Parts: sequence; structure tokens; C-alpha cells
Amino acid sequence: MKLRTDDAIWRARLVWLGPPNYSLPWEWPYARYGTLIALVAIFGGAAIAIARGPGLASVAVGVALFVNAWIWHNVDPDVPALKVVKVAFIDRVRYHTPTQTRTPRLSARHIRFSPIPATPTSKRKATTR
Amino acid sequence: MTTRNLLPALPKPTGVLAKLLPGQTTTIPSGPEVDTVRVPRTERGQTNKMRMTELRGNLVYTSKDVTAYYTLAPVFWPFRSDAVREEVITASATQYAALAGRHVHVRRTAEPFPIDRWLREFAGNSRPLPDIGTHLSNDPAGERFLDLEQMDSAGVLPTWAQHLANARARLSEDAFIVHRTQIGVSFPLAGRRGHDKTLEQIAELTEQLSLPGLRAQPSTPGDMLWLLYRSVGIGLTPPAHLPGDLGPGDVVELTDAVDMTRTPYSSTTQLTNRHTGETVYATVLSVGRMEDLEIPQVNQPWSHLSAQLDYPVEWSSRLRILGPAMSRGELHRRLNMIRSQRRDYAEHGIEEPRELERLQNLAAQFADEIDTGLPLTASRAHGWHRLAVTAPTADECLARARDLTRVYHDQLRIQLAVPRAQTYLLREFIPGERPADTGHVRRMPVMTMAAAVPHVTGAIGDGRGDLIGYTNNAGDLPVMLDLHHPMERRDASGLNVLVAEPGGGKSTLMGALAYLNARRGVRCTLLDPSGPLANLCRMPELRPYSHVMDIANAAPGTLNPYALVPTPRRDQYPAGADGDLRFHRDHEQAQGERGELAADLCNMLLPPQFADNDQITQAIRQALRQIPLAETSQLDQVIDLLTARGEQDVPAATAAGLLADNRRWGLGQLFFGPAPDTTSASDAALTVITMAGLRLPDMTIGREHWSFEERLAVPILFAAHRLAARRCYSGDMNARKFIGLDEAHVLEQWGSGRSFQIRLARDSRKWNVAALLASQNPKDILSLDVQNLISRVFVGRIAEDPEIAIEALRLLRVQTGAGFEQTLAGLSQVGDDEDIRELACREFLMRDVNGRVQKICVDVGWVPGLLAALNTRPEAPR
Repeated sequence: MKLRTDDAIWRARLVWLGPPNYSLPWEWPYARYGTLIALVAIFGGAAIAIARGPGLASVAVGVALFVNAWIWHNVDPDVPALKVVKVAFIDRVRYHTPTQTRTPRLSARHIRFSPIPATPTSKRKATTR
Repeated sequence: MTTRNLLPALPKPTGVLAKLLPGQTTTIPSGPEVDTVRVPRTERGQTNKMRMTELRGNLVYTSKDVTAYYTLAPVFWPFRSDAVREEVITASATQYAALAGRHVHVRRTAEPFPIDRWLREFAGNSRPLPDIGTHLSNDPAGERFLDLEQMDSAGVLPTWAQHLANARARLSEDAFIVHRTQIGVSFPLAGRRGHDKTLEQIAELTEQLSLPGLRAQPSTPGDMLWLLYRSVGIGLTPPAHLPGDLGPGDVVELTDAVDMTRTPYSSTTQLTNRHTGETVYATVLSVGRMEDLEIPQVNQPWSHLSAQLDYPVEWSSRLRILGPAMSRGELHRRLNMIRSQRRDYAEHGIEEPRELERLQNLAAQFADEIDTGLPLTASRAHGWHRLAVTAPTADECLARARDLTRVYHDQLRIQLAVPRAQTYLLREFIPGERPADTGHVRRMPVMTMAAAVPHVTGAIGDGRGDLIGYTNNAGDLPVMLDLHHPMERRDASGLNVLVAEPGGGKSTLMGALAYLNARRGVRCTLLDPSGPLANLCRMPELRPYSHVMDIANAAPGTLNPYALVPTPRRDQYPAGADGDLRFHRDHEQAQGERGELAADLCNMLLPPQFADNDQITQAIRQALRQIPLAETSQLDQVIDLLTARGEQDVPAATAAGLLADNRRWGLGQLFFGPAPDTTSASDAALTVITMAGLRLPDMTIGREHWSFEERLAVPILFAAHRLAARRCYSGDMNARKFIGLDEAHVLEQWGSGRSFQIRLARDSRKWNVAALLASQNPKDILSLDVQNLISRVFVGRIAEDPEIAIEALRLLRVQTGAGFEQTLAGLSQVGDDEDIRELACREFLMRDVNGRVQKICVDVGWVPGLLAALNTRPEAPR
């Protein structure tokens, strides 16, 4: 029995070539423009907040471009951009001690225990009788 | 804090088990009110709540949904036909397709083989022989004293307790792993009324999943307890307790004891049990790109591959099942995106990548399948498949991860990746938790998902008998064999068949089974014409209870055919009319067999040139008819009658003379005269009947070319089989008996031999007799037409004759022409310069009472001295 996955068609590289009648010199995936806009907004907002004006806007755009390039350098069909960002935060930033760090222990103390519920089917049978 | 622990108290082990299973009941306290282990607030550190909020039987509640967990019945896979395997996959796929719209969690856990549970059942199922220590002072000859005293001082006295301890040590040494697969199906929670509806849906689901394919049953509290523990403490040694009702104390104790530590960007997470101090490292791998597979014809189930390694691998698949409508929507969206991209390239006048056209065609093909196909082909399973490996050190853990990656790449062309954020991936294994991230999502038809078959097993045997070895095909598991299991538990026959070429391990298996069963108190009788199995009777632990009967030196009349067939006793049957009827029927049958046996033996005793003479055989028949068919009759009476008639009848005189000729020779006298009282009176636990010095003829050569000795050897062997079986038909009908008959092919050539084998198969249940017939050629057994009565088949190496290999596969009920013939030829192989005696084990294909066929390795090296006793090859002169 021949078996396969549908993954191949999800691996197709879909890129934005540019506006009609003009082709951009690079081929970025659509999502890359989205992350760039988000990063510019974040870093731009931060720069405006720090400088209390648009003075550091160009720096913010530069950093956003750099970070965006770094993110997309790590992206592949199995590792989406969101995961790259998430890993950067939870794997490095959150637990940043150089030595081994104990992660938060899983707690089960809040879990309630109840008897197995009677299925409504059996209840219905009882009432029918 | 006091909580209620509902785990039942374990029965306290007694006797030898008490020493072997120390502290069995102390791990989890039982009783109504117990203190659970509390961690001081200062030690607790930061905690993350599990998403699970409530546990009701097999239902796991979170704030948003409820997941019903089911345990899948194992599916036996090896040596089954492709059609049957495809049926399993299709049935499972149908069940997955029926879960459209649901989130599914498939979880396979690895657990150590439950040695103590087996040991407890095994010991309870045995009536062991008294330990030899009690006989030390009773041996008048004193010849055993030295050996036993030496053993005693070395602490290896072969007592029953030591026997159990050896078996336990052997099982512990190999750390066998068994797998349990559970599937969780989630339903959204929506208020009280919605909850009732959900419970109705779960009830329907329970019925649906119990059908062939997944054959799932709601997980028991024990299963849930195990799943929780194994998910939170992956790789940590599970607490030794039996399943019981699940209580808060249990879960808190299991989960709170586990600490997880890691280093940034590390590929491993360290888990520590704070109660025991045990530490393991875990690495989670994610299933990446998958090439096309051909299951079952070429590839094996893609999830099962990880279960065949010699280290534990945990599996977790988080899936969303998409029905045809949802699949269609997703696929068409994707198809349109690809089309649009191609259009973009055309509009911009840029040459498009070649893959786009290929992918568009592929997507169109999938879309067509979904649009026009049945729900089974149209449904999809999208999700994440994670594997977790553990090891005591980080380096070993990573080495295992690398090995797993290599195995998957080489055998299935599936890429495994070690993603980042390992701690979060580990949480994904826990019931109720969410998928860790969106990376490595796999999208596949439900048929491909079903072909993962995570619940495949290769386990064979009954799990309650002696440890005879382990499976030797795709994942090792111990093989336990209780020869009386078919009669006592399954209402099946006790006939077992053993086929192998010379040197294929027949004697090793037969001797090992006899030894192990004799130790358990089963009355065993072996017919070993060549005689080396008599060594078993010299083993210290069996010597007081065993007996060797050398036919070549036996008293005259030992093989008197009339005495070889026992007369049923009325007290062996139940009272009443039914018992009367059965007794009379068996009584008449015994008389018939006696006459048939006497006739066949007379025929065998005639020289070949007279055996086909109608007048002579007619004269013998007439004489036999006049002799009472009682145990006390003798062949001498036949000769006397023929001699008396010989005055007027020449053929009768000739027959009398020819039969009397046999009486002149020492071995021929075995058939004449009254049977000695000792013939069947031995109550020894193990009796080995040998025919040392007797040369058996080559059956492929005509009888006329046999020497007189060879000619006489055939009836002797034939009658010896009956003598061996004679012991089984005396004493208590329910007492366990085992009879092993080598060279069983001689029986097939004579009518009484065939009827004897058929009777043995039919009577085995009534008399609780387990019989093992050994032969070199499966045709000997197939020609008897008793296949339906055979409970187990063992086939050893058959390399020389492909025809015999095909017959052997027929005996095993395995598909022929599918390459399994090569498997038979490859059993117990040694190199040109190797000694077969140096093989650690002997390989066989075994079919058990459930019809499962598996390659096993008979390894009884854990019994001290047994392999040396079973060595049947002659030693080179020194």
C-alpha cells in the first residue's frame, strides 16, 4: 500500500515578487514582510518612547531589518518564524543563568478527582424503562 | 495535608517470593487516610500548574475541554500476511476518519517488563519438586555429596528459590521493554447541558473505538496513573505498585516529586526524582520530512520502528483530524496560492521555479482525491509527532537520539529533528497539555497516520509459564511458555510439534522444556533414541526424581504391544450414565488400538520380502483375532497359535517361524513375554527413555537393504513411543504431564502410529498431557491431518531443502513465497569456523496457541549447568 504525506505542497515557497509591472530585486516570502512590519512597529515604538521623538527611527528600522534577517535565516518549512521568536525568548531570555537552571515544577495539586460519570445513555435507558 | 489514597493493599508475598520481592508493599501506603508527601514551601520553588483540572476515570478535564483516554489492544504484526496487515491499517484509518473535527492525542509509553508480576503468577502456577537439600542425608551411595556440598558452600545450591532468582536475574539483566498505547480524544466543554451531550458523545466514541482496528477500551485507573507518571517523569523508574483506583495522593506524589532542569539551548532536559535521587536526561525529537512509504509490503509501521530499539522511546502525537469538507477547504486554499504564485511569476516575466508546476499537479491530484474519494481517503490528520529518548547521562541521551535519527533515516527515510525549547516539548507528552509550538507539523491522509500502527506488538507465548528465551525479531521480549496453558485456559489440544534439520536445536528445546517442567512438578517423559538427554537425569536437582530407561538393556516383554496400551479405569471417569458411556467407549477403543498395534508390530517384525505376502499376513491376522485384547496377552500366544495351525497351513507355519526368529535375539525379546511390572510404574518426575547403541535405518533406503539390527530398530522405536505415552495414561487425569517424542516420523508410516498421534492430540485435554512431537520433516506431521489439533509449532533451521521449508511454513500457517523461506534457512546460523555449541541461543519460528508466529531465541543459559547437560554433540577425543 503506497502511502505519502501532503507535506510537499505546504513546502512550496510562496514569495511576493513586487507590485504589478515592477519586480523587486529580492524574493521574500509574504510572511517576511509581515514580520518586518511588526518589528519596525515594535522597535520604532520603543525608539520613540526612549528618544521622545522620531530621532532614533532610522536606528529602529535598521535593528528591525537585522532582527528580521536573523529570524528568517533560521526559518525553514518545519520551523516557522513564530517558533524562532518563541525559542529565542523561552530558551535563552527567560532562563538566562549560565549554569543549569531548574524549570518551574509542574504542579498537580489543583487537580480534582471525581468518580467516573454515568453516561447519559444509561440514564436515558433507565428513564425509558 | 491528608488525602485519600484508594490504591488497594498488595498481598504480602510469602515463601520464596518474600525474599525475591522485598519491600513490595511499602512504596505506596494503602488505607483510608494517609499523609501524602509534602514539599516545604521553601523548597517548592516556582511552579507551573498543569492544564489538567480534573480527572474522572479515563476523562481528563481542562478548563476548556475534556479528553477521553483509551488503551489500545496490541496488534500482532510479525509473519502475518500483507492482506491481514492492510486490513488492520484500513480498519484503524476508518476509525481515525470517524474522529473528524476532534483533537487526538496518541501516546505510547515504554515500561519495563513486569518481572515481579510474572514471577508471582509463575510461582503460584507451579508445584515445584522438593529442594535437593532435603535429600543430602538420604543418599546411601554418597556419590552426590561432594557436588552438592560444593554448590552449597558456593551459595548456588539449585533450590527452587534459586531457580526463580536466576530467572529474575536473567530478565533484569536484559531490561526488556513492553509498550502500552493510549489514545485520547478531546471534546470542547460547554456548560452543564453541553457536558451531558459530551458524555453521550464519549459513550458513542467508546463503542466506535472498540471495533477491530484500534480495538480500544477506556483506560483503567492503573493505565491513567501510569500515563501520568510516565508523562511527567519520562524515563524515571516507575514506583512498584499495582493499578488501583486513582486518588489525589497518587498523582501529587508522582508529579511533585519530579524536578526538571536544563541549560539554555540545551538538547536535553534533566529530570530528577527528589524522593529517590534518580536522574535521567531526556531529548525530544520531532518527526520531520517523510518520503513515500510502502506499508506493509516494504516498510514496517513507521511508529513501531522506535519500539524495536533496545532503549525506551516514548511517543506522543498531537493530531487534529480533518473531515473531507475541512480537508477540501485547506487544500483548495493551498492550491489557489500555488496557482496565484505561478501567475505572479508569469506576470513579472520571471522564470518560475520548476517545483511550482509539480506541486500544483500534486495538489490538484490530492484535491481530486478529496473531492471524489470516500471519507476514508479524503480525511486528513494534521499534527505533531514527537519521540522522547532518555538515558542516565546527557551524552548517552544524545547518542541515543542520534541513533534513533539514523535508524529512521536509513529504514524509513523519515527525518527526525531535535527542536529547541525542549522543556516545552516534554510537556506535550502530558495529558491535557497543548502542543508546544507550530513547528514540524505533519499533514497526511488518515491512512498514512493509521499505518504508524503504534500498538504493534511482537510478544508471543502465554506470559505465565517458564522463561524459555526471547523474541529475536524486531524488538526483544521475553518468551514464557506454559505447556499446559492450552488445556487449562484455552480448551485447546496439548499437541506441540517441533521440526528442524539435524543440528537445528530439537534436542536442546525438548530437553530444556523437560527440565523446566520437571522443576515445576510436571511429570515428564522423554523418548530420546540417541540418548544424550539422559544427562538431564544426572543434574543434581533432578537426580533424586528422575529415571533413565535404556530400552536396549530392558527386560524381555518391555515392549509387549498388548501391555503398551493402557486399560482405562472406571474411577477415572465421572459417575453416572454419561461416565459409563465414556468409559465403555474408551475401553473398546483401547482394545481396538491394542489389536492394531500388535498387527503392525508383527508386520514390522517380518522380513521385508515376506511383509507383503498376503497369505502370511492373513495367517497372522487370523491368529491375532483369536487372542484376547487384554493387557495380559502376549505375542508368544500368536506364535503358539500359528505353530498349532502350521501343521495343516504352510503360510501359518512360515509366519510362526519368522516371528519366532525375532525371539532368539536379545532386542527381539523385548516384544515377547509378559510385560515386567516396572514398565510403567515409575513415578519419577522425569523419565528419559533411550535406545543407546541402537542404529536407526535411513528411511530413504528401501527396507530390503536394511540390516537385521536396523530392521529391528524400527519396531523398537515405534513401540518405545507407545511406552513413553503409556506413562501419561496412568494416575490422576488432571495431573500435569509432559511427553516429548523424538523421531516421531516412524509413527507416520503405520496405521496404529497415525491413530496413536491423533488420539494423543485428542486425549491431551482430557488427560492434561502436553505432547511434543519432534521430527526432521514437517511432511510427517502434515500427512497425519492433525493440523487443527496442533496448539504450538516450533520450526528450527531448515536450509537444505526448499520444499521442506515450504512444508514447514504451511505447518506454521505462514504465507509461502513471501521470503519467509530464507528466514528458516537463516535460523541458528554459524560461520564456517564457528562451533554451533558456542551459540548463545537456538533460534526457532514459533506459532503459539493464538496463531501468532514469531522468531524466538531459546536461551536457557540462565539455568546453571543446563546447556552443558543438553550438549548433544560428541566431543572430539582428547
